[in-house]
Amino acid sequence: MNHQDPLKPISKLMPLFILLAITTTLLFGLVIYTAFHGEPGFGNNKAIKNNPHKGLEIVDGVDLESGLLATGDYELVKRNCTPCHSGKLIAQNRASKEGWRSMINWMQETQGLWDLGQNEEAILEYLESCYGPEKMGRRKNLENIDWYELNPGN
Amino acid sequence: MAKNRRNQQRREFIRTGLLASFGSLLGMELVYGKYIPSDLIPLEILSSNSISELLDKHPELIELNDRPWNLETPAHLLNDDVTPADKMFVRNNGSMPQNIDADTWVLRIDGESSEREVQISLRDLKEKFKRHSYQLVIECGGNGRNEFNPPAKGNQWGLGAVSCAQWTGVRLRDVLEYTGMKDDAVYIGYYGADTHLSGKKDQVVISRGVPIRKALEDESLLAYELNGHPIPIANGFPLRLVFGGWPGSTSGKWINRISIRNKVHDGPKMGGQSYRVPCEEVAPGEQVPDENMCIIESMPVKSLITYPRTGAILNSGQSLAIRGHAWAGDDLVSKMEISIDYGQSWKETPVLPPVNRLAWQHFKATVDFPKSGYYEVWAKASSDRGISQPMVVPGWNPKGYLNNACHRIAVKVRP
Ligand code: HEC
Repeated sequence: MNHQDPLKPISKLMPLFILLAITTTLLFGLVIYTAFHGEPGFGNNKAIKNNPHKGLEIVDGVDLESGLLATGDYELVKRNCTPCHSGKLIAQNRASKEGWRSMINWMQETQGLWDLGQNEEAILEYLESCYGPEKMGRRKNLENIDWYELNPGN
Repeated sequence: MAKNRRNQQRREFIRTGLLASFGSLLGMELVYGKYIPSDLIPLEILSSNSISELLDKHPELIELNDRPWNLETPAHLLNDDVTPADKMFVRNNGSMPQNIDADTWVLRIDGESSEREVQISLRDLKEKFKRHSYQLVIECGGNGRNEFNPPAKGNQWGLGAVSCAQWTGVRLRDVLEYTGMKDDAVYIGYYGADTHLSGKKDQVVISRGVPIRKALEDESLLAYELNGHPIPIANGFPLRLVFGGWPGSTSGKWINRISIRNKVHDGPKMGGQSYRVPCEEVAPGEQVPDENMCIIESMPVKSLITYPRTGAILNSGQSLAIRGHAWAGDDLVSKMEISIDYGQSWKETPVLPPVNRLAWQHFKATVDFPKSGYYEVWAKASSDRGISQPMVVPGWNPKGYLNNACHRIAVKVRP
């Protein structure tokens, strides 16, 4: 009775071991997957294939396809705001929430933009936070000057 | 050398930009297929991959938007006395017409104040009406918009939404006289063959015009040639209006219909806030009701330094020969001044008379710098009515039109 099978404690632990092994594998897989997800050249094809939003590629926080900043509700904005014109028209503008609302109203009244329903608020918040007005004076300093030698002979 | 590399980078940028937009169109077709009308994808994008091939444009034009196309010319590329076609900016409001056939192109004249409705083929315009050529300034009303504070809506044009090329065609006046105009005529309104970005076939993209007095001027043309060649498609082939000195949007492109109106034309982008400024000046950022907005007519006095490109580094004692152009809408530029001390002192420099009315006028100056350091060369034109360019951004307006603040280039002089 007292005689114990030396393997018994181990076999009792066996399911635990298996569980541990499975979890480790899964975790490791997950780490690898998240590390390389979307990185060009590694598993990218798979990522795109599995991605419901085809062709999504984000570089330096910018959605390459639309040129919009890839934060918050940008997919909603992309879906509603780039069928007619490119995202470049959006990204080059700066406005307060009210300013963006007036542009949207203008497009709805005159350019065939649809009713954005309950998405409007989220779109406006994205636009204001990504493309809000910058503080600038009556005239900016000259910026981004590409300095070059001017030869006297020119 | 450095410039070459820059050009190459720029070309590379445009190429990848185009590939990206090409990709984006294809991607959009997949992702947003249900939103895109099937006729929306511009054919030219699918069949080509370089900007110069696409639009016959210089690769250094700045791409503000590729759908619709809006391209700006950097100031130093405007150095030619007569702007070459490939350096002419592009302001498109919609999608360009496709499969244009100049041989079958017809212009319709109608409207309440037209004696009759007439169809004139482009061929007849060329053969039966007298040909006239003028160098004419076309500047986008929103040129300089990117300096307004608070920011103004629309394409953020910098300096180069302006051109002065040789336009050839027939006088609009001759065509209106042939058609016959009633006494109550007030305005002409144009219609073009471009299509709306929403893909809706019956939606007019833009339909603007000018009062009869401007329409009847000698230099107001229905043009079919630019610098002696057919007009580039992006600039209105095969037929466009040209009203020198007025906002570019009055000079409609791909013109197939002109209405003689007995009231101010009311087509899309005539009303609301489009191409209008507050009738009375407002504080920056103020809301302006539509009824207090007035249509822009003549553009303001303005000038550009087109040589050298901003950023020149000079040796000590090296003087700088600058060149540029000045224009003043319907008026004449009568004085040109240069400052290298932030407008504290100005030196007058000669400005040539225009080759014809409404052409831009050229100026040259030699600038000497008293010592080494960072300088800005500022240029200020004044019109024959004594109006000068402001040194800061002029009156704020909701859509950011008419910024004629003086042009500044940066220069460094080595010790
Ligand atoms: C149904 C077509 C359509 C959709 C969808 C659309 N727009 Fe527009 N939008 C236009 C047109 C047409 C213009 C005028 C383009 C031009 O003049 O170059 C425009 C102009 C603009 C401008 C410039 C404003 C101005 O005053 O010129 C901005 C900014 C803009 N859109 C942002 C957006 C945003 C943000 C959305 C999504 C909420 C959106 N657009 C969705 C048709 C659309």
